[in-house]
Amino acid sequence: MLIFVLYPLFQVFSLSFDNWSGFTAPVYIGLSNFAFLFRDPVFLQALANNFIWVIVFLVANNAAGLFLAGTLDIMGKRSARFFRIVLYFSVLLPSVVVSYLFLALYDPNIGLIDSFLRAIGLTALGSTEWLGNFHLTIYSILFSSIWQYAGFPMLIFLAAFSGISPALYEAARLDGASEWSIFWRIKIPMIRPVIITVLALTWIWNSMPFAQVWTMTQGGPGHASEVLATYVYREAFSGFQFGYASAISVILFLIIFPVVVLFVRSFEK
Amino acid sequence: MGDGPSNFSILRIPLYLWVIAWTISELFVFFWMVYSSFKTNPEFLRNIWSLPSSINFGNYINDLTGHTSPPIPIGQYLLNSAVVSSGSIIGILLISVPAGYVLSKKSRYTDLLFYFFLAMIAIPPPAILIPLVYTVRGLGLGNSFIGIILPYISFNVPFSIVLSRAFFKSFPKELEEAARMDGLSDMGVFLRMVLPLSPVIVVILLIVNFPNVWNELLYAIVLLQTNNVRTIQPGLLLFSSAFGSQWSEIFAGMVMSSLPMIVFYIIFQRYIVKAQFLGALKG
Repeated sequence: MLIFVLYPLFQVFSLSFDNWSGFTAPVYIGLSNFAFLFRDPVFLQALANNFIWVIVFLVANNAAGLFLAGTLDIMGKRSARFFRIVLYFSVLLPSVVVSYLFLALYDPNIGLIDSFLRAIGLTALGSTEWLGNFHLTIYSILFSSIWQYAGFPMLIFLAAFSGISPALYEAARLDGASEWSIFWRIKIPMIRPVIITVLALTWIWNSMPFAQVWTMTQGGPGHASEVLATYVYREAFSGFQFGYASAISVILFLIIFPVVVLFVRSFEK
Repeated sequence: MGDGPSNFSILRIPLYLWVIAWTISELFVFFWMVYSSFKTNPEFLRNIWSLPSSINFGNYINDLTGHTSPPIPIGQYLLNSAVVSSGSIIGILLISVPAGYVLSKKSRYTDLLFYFFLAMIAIPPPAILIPLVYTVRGLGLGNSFIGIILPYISFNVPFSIVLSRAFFKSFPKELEEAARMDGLSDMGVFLRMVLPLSPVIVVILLIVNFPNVWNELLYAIVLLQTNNVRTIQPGLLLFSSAFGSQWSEIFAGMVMSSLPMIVFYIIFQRYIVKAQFLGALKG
């Protein structure tokens, strides 16, 4: 593990100061890679998209999971079980598969979404290129990913809710609290530590998308849906700019680093 | 939870509808994927909603035998994925079960090591792509099973150790002490007492790791570039670079690449809550 994780981590930092095409020995060029990065419009686009991804994904995925769990928690046990089993299912599917499915759903000619919009008479909307539109593309990919993974926070929040003593609800009900305020005032505060851990985990696991973006758009159209991982891959393995790609990797690493603190803290008790 | 009529909230209606709509979308997408895989490609392109006119296994046969255009031997890729996944899982189990057990014992060193592994969880595999690929190729392991199994083990061991430590921490100490009284060594206690009682942690680690390994794409694309080792995820992607996508054959390939996950879900569904919860809460 030292060879396969830690050593490469040090290497990526040292390579980020080099000019290296993979064929000749790396040449030290100081901070030029980083200086170039912040003048590279494609990198800036990828960085912006990656930030959008992290923020939207963290908020939407966990909020969806929280409300799904909250709703399942007030249902009858048997129906909650059924919904839970179905809703978690897509979490396990390969993201390549889910991306292909959405690629077909989003297709403006044969796709399900646009033909549905046309069928209900929204012809103007019905020709939307969900993945081909410069402004929409990253959000379309995000949507598919949130759809796929919301089952994960749901499952954990649901388990956490079921660990709360029913006596607490009884007391609140006697005081005349509504279900809505029980959810906000009792359930959410009670599972706060779980929420923090789940936030940290979704951050670690989902803040550097590759498979979804690569399968659906390969970062296109142009570089409109480029994210850091696809840009690293493109620069390193089609552009042979290993030093430059390493500099991008360092930025990638910095995005996830703050979560270490959050994560380690949540385990300290 | 107890739902006295007096507390029935009107808010339930939109929430229930939302859950139902989401559930229908999951079921629909799943059935759509399965029935579309039995259509012919012209049928698919004519109308992607429609049910197949007849159940034909042509797409599956083409995929499995590699008679697609261009030839993409999905059958071979599935076998490769099976080898890579089982190799990785065995490696992960062999390392993290004993390591988790050791780290569950309290001492300065074990605590330090535990925090080390905790921090390792936050090293994202995409960030170390370039040097890792060069390390693997430098060791002469490019395009080999072992060359991808070792990185997969390394990526997944830290979280697995954290899980397995949490599991052993909840293990009753009295049993172990009784065994020691009977004269068993530390190793003996682990092999004869702890391990046989721990199929649960093996199942938990399987649940957490199998999807990670089976579904991985980035490293598989870069490290496995020949047909004899390529796994199913990058294999499926070859369809998209082929001109004039054969959607029906892609769908059959998608069903086959999801099948292990579906079977896995059916078998382990009951344990998944437990496994994920242990990870998220207990640590």
